[in-house]
Amino acid sequence: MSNDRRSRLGALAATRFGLGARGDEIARASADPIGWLLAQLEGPGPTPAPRPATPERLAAAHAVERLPGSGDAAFALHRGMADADLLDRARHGAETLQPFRERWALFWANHFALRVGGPVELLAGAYVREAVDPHLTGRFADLAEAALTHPAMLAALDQPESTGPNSPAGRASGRGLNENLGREILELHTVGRAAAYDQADVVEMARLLTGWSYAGGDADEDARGRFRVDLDRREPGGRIVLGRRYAEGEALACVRHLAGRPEAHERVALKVARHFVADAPAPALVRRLAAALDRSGGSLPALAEALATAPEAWAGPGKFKRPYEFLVSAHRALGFSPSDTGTVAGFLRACGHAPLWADTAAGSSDADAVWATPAGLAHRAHLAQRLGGQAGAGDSLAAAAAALGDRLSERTRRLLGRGDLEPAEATALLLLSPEFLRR
Amino acid sequence: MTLHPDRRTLVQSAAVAGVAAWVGAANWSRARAAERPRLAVITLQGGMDGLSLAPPLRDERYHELRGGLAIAKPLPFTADFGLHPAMPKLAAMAKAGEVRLAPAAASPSRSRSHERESEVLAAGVVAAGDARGGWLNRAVAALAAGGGGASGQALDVAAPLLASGPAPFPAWAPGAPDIDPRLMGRLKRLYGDDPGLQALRADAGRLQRRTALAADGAGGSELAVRARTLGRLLAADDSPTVGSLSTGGYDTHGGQGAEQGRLADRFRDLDEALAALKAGAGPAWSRTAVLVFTEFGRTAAANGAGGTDHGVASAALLLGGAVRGGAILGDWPTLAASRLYEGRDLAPGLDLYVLFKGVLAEHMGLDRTVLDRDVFPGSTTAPALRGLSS
Repeated sequence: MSNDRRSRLGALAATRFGLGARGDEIARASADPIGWLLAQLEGPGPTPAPRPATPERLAAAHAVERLPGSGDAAFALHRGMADADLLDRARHGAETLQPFRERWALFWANHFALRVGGPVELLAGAYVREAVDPHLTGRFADLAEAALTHPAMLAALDQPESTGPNSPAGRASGRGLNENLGREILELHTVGRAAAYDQADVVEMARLLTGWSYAGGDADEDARGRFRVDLDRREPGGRIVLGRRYAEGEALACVRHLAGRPEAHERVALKVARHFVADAPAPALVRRLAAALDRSGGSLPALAEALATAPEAWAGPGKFKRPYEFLVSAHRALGFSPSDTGTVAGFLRACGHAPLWADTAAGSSDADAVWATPAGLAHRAHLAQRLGGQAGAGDSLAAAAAALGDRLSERTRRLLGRGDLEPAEATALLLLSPEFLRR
Repeated sequence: MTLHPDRRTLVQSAAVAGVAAWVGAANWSRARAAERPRLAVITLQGGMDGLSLAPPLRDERYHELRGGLAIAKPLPFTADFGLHPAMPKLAAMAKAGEVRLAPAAASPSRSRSHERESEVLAAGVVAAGDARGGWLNRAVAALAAGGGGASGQALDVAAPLLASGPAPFPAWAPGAPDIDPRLMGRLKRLYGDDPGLQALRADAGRLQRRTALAADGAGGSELAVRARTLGRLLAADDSPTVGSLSTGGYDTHGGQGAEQGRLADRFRDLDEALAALKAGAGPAWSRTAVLVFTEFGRTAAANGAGGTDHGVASAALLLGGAVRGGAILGDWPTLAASRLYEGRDLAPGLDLYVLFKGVLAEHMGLDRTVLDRDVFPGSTTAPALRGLSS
């Protein structure tokens, strides 16, 4: 490979697959761009900064809710935790030496997205750290199991309330099924509509899942926040989902089987290609990604390798960054970490994009058209000017070269080199340049 | 958002200059523009429970199916349907003959999936993956092609599929920051011949001024501010003739409530927003129609967990000064066990495409051929509903 080509791929590795170059990252990636990406999925990953875990959060919420007139205090607790989690995650994103791993994590957090509401803001940061981050280098079925049995997901999809009508609790109370989790496992998390499931499959799935719950904030300390099966609510009897029979209590086996089906692999392959490569990715690329999952028994590193070695992934114009990717890459380009929740949470909430939760269980959109809006540009311009002011004086041309490498265009280079720009203005323009807005 | 005093002066002097230019032919064409019909489309995301919005008054199965979720004391609405008690302002509009209820409207698809049904209702095309932007955008394109000078604006932060496509229909909601003129000039040079970014930049410059002006002094909830701003934009001569906004929180699997509770809070907010839209439109209300719909309804029965699961048909609303009040739109299949879709959901009594087409044909004046071919391609079997406009 020629040096020119290597440095071009190095720039793409850092910006398209990573979170934007920080420092000399493009130079480091250029030696072996694909190897640089894949090495990030080896080993246990970074040690997260200390933040409260799910049991502590549930206990804190329980303590607040017991107070009279606790609505405002509960809201403050949830919102405060969420904003601190956003800042914490953005800071990690701005500093990490494994930016592809972080993109990989946030992709999967969005695949198993928490629909905002209820306790989701309280728990979302812990959910990603506990259920997603530890499973990035394993099998898709393991990740699915961890995500779908986490208290945040169970609560977000109303699973603890679902009661088998013929279970002891159902017979005593007249309560019944809540289909939410069962439907979304089929539709969103695993096989999708390609498997042609029908309403009977949804109901069977919901029956199979009855009893899935977690120990809440009022539980004993050693149980609190843990997944548990509430036998009192479990619908008796075996179930048939998509033509396959499961005995009572085999809900987890069913989830794992669904996660390993070819339709699930195809669905995940399409989403990976849409996220990293293009809104309408080449069918051949999607087939290769799905085949990598099929062949490897759902190995996520095998999927990443198929992506990183696909010529299609290194071609094309690249996608428009989503608001979070813009925020983090801007900090990486300027070489400092976000330090206040106002900047991070304020920007993300205004843009309607939080990496730890979403407006719907389907997750935040990956379509360029959703984010490339006039208002989206105005929010970015506002942030770019603020960060430009914080960055102070410096060589903006050197910063542009480090941030974009060979992707820096002649037009942007000429404009940033003009003598009549204030340093803050030049920095803002770098962040708002066409090549920086895209990845 | 409060307007900066300097810019207010600027805008006022621009308006004075505009008045000075109102002579001869220009005056005539502006007057015609002012008479054009206006359309607002409000999407309720999550699957709104129509049986709580407009509970049937004479359906004996309602209370049996709904149990604790049944609305015991609805407001007067139509002959056979009440209105949720959190919506007194809409009830007043209904009394004034400005509201039509479709009690059992549904998408032509039946998947009970948020993603799929939202796409079908925004795209205006049933075939999966055949989305060419949204039907509302294509309707604006067709109006513009017909010499109507139409444009749209989505009062949302992220661009909805409904508004995406070839016609100018940018997303801009009150609260987005301004890009100052100096930076705007730099960006113009920076974006060179990049058509996408130049369009975003130019739209931002245009929209930030007109939206801030329209939003000035608007109070109330976030949704009400957007709705009032939309009403004011529709009322202005040089602004969009079509607008949209979306709002969520309707996916009530648990803790739905009845007269009070989570869903009642949504309805109260919606009621305030509809009244704000009307107030914002002012005299233009008489030329305005507002469509309100959701991606699907919810199960006819409560789910036994304090909520309802994904269903099929739900209530849709058509309101505005340009709407002819009267009988319900479509059929009411009833809640009889034998009439429920797959034994569990309110069955469709009206295809939402039929309602959409009816509004575009009667109110906006679009030709039936254009609707069948360009706006809802492949929908020739769905007729356009009649008798909607006053």
